[in-house]
This record gives sequence, structure tokens and C-alpha cells, in this order.
Amino acid sequence: MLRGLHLHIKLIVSLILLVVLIGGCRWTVQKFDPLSARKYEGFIHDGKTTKKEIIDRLGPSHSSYENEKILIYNVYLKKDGQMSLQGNDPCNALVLLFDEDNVLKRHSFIKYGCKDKEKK
Amino acid sequence: MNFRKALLCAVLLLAGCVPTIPYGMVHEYDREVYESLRPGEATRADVLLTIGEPLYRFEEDRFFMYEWLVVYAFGVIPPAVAFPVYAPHYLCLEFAPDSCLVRREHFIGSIYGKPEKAIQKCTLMNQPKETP
Repeated sequence: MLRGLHLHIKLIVSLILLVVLIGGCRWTVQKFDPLSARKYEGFIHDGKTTKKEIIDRLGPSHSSYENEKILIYNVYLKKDGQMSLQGNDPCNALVLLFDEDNVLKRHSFIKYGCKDKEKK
Repeated sequence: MNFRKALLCAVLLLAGCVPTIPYGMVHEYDREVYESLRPGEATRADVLLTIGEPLYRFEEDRFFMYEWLVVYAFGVIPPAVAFPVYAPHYLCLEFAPDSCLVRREHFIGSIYGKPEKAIQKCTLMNQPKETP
């Protein structure tokens, strides 16, 4: 009787742990709010930064769309406000949309928005 | 057999067959956010700027498909092995040649399902031309 109770308790504890562990590992893909993203933006400014400047600073993009009108970089955001192209955390997408003159038109940071979310 | 031995045996026996959640798939897409991308209004750029990169791209980006997993329940193998029961969810987006979003569909796959059926459904039964 007591042994059965022990097993039940262990089972319940295991299930709770599993729920907590898996629950804690779920992330929602979402845009960074502009205020918290601002500290990572550095040289990236809509209407000013050119595609050449971006490529000179960050290198070739991870992906591109619409004849390179849209570039995407996989970035890792550090707590000190630095943006890195390598990291151990789940990666975020820096999405850059350029106009016909190759000047940055709009950009956004998408939390966990990379295609390859696995740790590199 | 005591509890620890039973647990160890169960873990060893089941290590190769108990489903685990692929790391990259635990990132879910917020329904409210992707439903804000309305056909006839949003463009391909709006989609990428709002929800990031799709896992699948087909027919020169005419179709995007996003995938994530939703855990519905936990299966239990006594004495204390529990495993998640999950199904893949897919967000299929189709764009017109002018980059405007023309179709947005949400599919739910079968338990532990693979993406092939969703890809066929998304690309209107065409064979996929690209895979990730």
C-alpha cells in the first residue's frame, strides 16, 4: 500500500518536472519591441544605412529574398547590448528591407525568427 | 526490482523510441500575430518582417511554410517514464507575382506527423521543388 503510494508520488513528480521542463522550453516567435531592440541596432538606421554598409559590417547574409531586396541575418543578442553573428542561445532574425537605391527602408528583429533555430 | 532499477531499465529500453521534441520546433507562432497578416494587404516583406524566416520555401518563394509543434498531452509508461504527445502545426502562405499575400492557411498535422502532406496541401498538390 505504502509502496504503491510512493510510486504514485514519484510518477506525479516526474510528470510535473516534465511539464515544467517542456513548458519552460517553449518560446513564441515575436518581434522585439522597438525600445528594447534599439540598444542592439548600432549602425542600422532606416533611411540611412546602405546595403553595402551592412554587408561590409556583417558579411554575406544567411538568406535573401526578392533579388536581395530583403536580407536576413541570424543574430544573437547579448545582455551588454552587443549583437553577435555567433552564439549559444536560440537565434533571432535580423530582417532588412532595402529600397530601389539599396538604402535600408525597414528592419526588424524577430525573436527566435531564424529558419535554423538549432544551436550552432 | 526497486524503483531506480525499473526506471533505469525503462529509460534504456525506451531511449531509442520515445519521441522527443526537436529543439528548433518548440518555437511557436502567435495566432494573433500571423492572423494580422491579411491576404490582399500584407506583402512578402511584411511577413518576413513580422514572423521571420519560413522553414520551407517553394516555387521561387510563391509559397512559404512555417512549422511548429504543439504538445497536447503526456503519455505515461509506468513506473515513471512520461513522453510528450505532439502534433505539428503549419502556416502556409501563398504570394502573387507582385509579392502580395493571397492565401493564408493553418494546417494541423497528425500526431508525430511529417510535413510531406502539409507541403502538398500548401503547394496545391504540386511536388515540392525545394526542401530545407
